[in-house]
Amino acid sequence: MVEKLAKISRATLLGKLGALLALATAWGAASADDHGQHQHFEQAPGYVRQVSSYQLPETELRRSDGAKVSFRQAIDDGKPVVLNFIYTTCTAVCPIMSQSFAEFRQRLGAEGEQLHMLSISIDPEEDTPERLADYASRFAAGSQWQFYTGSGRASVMLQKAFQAYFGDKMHHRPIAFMRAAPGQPWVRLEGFTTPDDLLKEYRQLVARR
Amino acid sequence: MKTPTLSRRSRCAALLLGCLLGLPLGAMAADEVEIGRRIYLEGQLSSGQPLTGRRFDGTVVSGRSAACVSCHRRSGLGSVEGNVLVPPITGKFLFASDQAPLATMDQRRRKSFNQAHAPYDAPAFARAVRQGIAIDGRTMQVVMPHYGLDDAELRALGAYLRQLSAEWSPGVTEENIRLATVIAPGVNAARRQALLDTLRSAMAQKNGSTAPGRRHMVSPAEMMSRSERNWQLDVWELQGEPATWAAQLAEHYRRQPVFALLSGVTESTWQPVHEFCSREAVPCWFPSVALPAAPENFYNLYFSRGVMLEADVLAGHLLDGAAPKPQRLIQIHRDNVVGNAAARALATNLAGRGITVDSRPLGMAGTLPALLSDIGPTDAVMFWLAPADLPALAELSPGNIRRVYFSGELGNIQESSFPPAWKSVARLVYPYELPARRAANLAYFHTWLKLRRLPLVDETLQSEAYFAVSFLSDTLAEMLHNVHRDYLLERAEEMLSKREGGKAEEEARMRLYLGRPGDLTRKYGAGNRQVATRDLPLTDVQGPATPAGEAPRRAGTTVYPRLSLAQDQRFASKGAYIARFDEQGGLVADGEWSVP
Ligand code: HEC
Ligand SMILES: [Cu+2]
Repeated sequence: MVEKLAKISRATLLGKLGALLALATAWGAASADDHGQHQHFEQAPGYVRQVSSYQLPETELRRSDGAKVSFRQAIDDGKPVVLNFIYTTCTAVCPIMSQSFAEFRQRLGAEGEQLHMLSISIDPEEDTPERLADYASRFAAGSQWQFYTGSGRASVMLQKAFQAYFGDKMHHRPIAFMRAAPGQPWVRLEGFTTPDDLLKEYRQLVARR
Repeated sequence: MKTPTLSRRSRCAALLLGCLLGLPLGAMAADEVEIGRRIYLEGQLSSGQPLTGRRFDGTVVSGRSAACVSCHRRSGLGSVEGNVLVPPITGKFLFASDQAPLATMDQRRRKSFNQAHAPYDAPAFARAVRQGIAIDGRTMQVVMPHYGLDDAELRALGAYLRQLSAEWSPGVTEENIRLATVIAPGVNAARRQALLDTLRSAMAQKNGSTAPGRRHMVSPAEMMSRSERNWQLDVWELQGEPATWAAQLAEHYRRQPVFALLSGVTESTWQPVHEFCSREAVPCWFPSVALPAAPENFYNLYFSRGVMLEADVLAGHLLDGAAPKPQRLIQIHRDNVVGNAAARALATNLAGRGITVDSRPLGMAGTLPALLSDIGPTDAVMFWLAPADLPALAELSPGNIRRVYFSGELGNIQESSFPPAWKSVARLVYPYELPARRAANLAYFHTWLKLRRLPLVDETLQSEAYFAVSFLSDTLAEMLHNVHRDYLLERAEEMLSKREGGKAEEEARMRLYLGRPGDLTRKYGAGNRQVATRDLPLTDVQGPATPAGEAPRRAGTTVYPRLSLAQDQRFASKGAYIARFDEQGGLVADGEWSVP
């Protein structure tokens, strides 16, 4: 934990601790024998923002058009990148994130010409390229928004690299990642982000570039 | 998948109520329930318009994606995803003042329960659905959309929720859960017996009947709610032609309704059983079948797509360019339901792809030597053979044949009994974990067999049956008093992969503790019967942080590398290896686990 935190700038450290505390309270779940105290599962609107550097590994992925691609090449194409993790049979959390991505892209209009969006499956054995292509069309994703699957190992490796691995697809959380260019740090937005949140963050990011 | 229709029973109850109150036919509750059902399950309003909801971020969701079922689920008992907890909203949980029965939500192995709250009345329900304001005045979290439903539509939804999961499913009483296992005709006597012994033994242990005076494993949650029930197992032996099975199944069910079908086995078709389960909404829980029936259905859970999966994996392998493409593929298969279906699937997959497919049934016309006589070095052969066919093969030599594939599932292929002369040319389509790692996955199971003094007859079949009991037991334990079939399937979807990971780690720790893989007997002795079929208390399933890039430590507890489900997923294992024999005669993977 300490080691992970060391990579994060001081300013975001407080935010991170705050987030950890919030999670700890939200999930300080009752053990079986103190069920008498019912606790709340509240999730404050908004999101936790954090700037981090991740060591990204190289691995092979498959794009929804069936092509085998190198993850590093896909992500280091020089463009600003927006990324998340999803799985196609999810009906609660992922559709909300995906719809937000879709609206964000639409509202960005011509400004987003240079943008590259990636959604990586956390259920890669089920999410074949065909299923991902289906899913992409549900959200009218154009060529700038690509969907990727791969081996179970590759998917877990990437989730871990982004510190977004929660042990099982059923535990996953809504997190969006953004980066202005290769070599730059990542902005990590944890929580449900609206299309406007994404717009604001994205504009800040590319303005600073 | 099909959406459920209102059970006949609740329709009648609603009708009766309508009659008693002297309501005119059109205004009766049954109609309201039906309107509510369409909103809840299909996202469709009585006007024919799609249901629309507004999300927190202003985006609009409509139709099926807006339907309550996608979050609150068919059972109405909710779900958990990450840190989003979707509460139960059936009448019992929403409108009643006594919310004694708990739905448990498994958050990383810790129990958390739905909150008790003041009962919702109609205005409060309307505020929740239209504005996202909970009964205690709290603004609900962002996941729940806001819906502009009118009073009549909300009344209809309320009526639907009141009857939803209101009673235990058939086969369930205060003390008991009745189950059945289906055995199709033609199953070899030794395998049949091994299956029944494994099921009965695991169940007896679950029921605690073999440890008199000592309590068996019960989860703390079960203990607290006293929801642990005794299981009873009926054996439904089918007879005669598959065309007559539907009537036999219906008759068994009429005589003694069961909550679910547990495990089960066939050597030929499973179609009538699958259809029975779809029709009667009875869960069909992990049967050992090589050819799962179609179409996919909510109530039918399988280990894998069996020979259909093998056909897909093999076609992918032949076409992906890794190995030289054969000019011709000769398939040798048994002339039966499974053999024909497998051969047809592979032929379809390869049609028009530049490989000539020639399918040759074994049987009166063709003995193996005759069927293999014209095969040359540019051909490949696929054997959809049963174990009984392998000795005949051992008498032949491959001769001119350079490339031979075997169905791992149908052949039940073992390293030790495989014809040695064929090892160097053989490739296996192998939907299981490779033997070395599988031995680790199954070490616990083998120890259990020993402790129960059960002979090992068929590792795949017996370990599948053991898993079926043990996973059912884990899932039911999480459900407490909410013994509803839909909820069972929903919990299975939610639990399977994390339970497999956690359980495998727990078993590995126990083995580590004992010093030698698989050797539990040294600690417990063969006479001790206190080995749990149930999850042991677990700590953080994430385990210690592993550096990025390292493979996950989790493995399974079955012959499959890993099992996983989710909404609408009905096959728990999704791929296969192409395997070959190495110089020592052991099976090794020829490439990655392949998921078609
Ligand atoms: C996208 C997921 C989603 C959909 C779709 C959805 N809900 Fe919800 N619902 C939730 C979540 C999450 C909560 C818990 C919110 C909270 O307590 O903060 C909830 C809470 C509720 C509650 C309050 C329960 C309580 O215990 O206080 C009611 C009532 C409810 N939903 C009804 C409905 C109805 C009716 C529909 C369909 C018209 C529906 N929901 C569709 C996710 C959803
Ligand atoms: Cu999701």
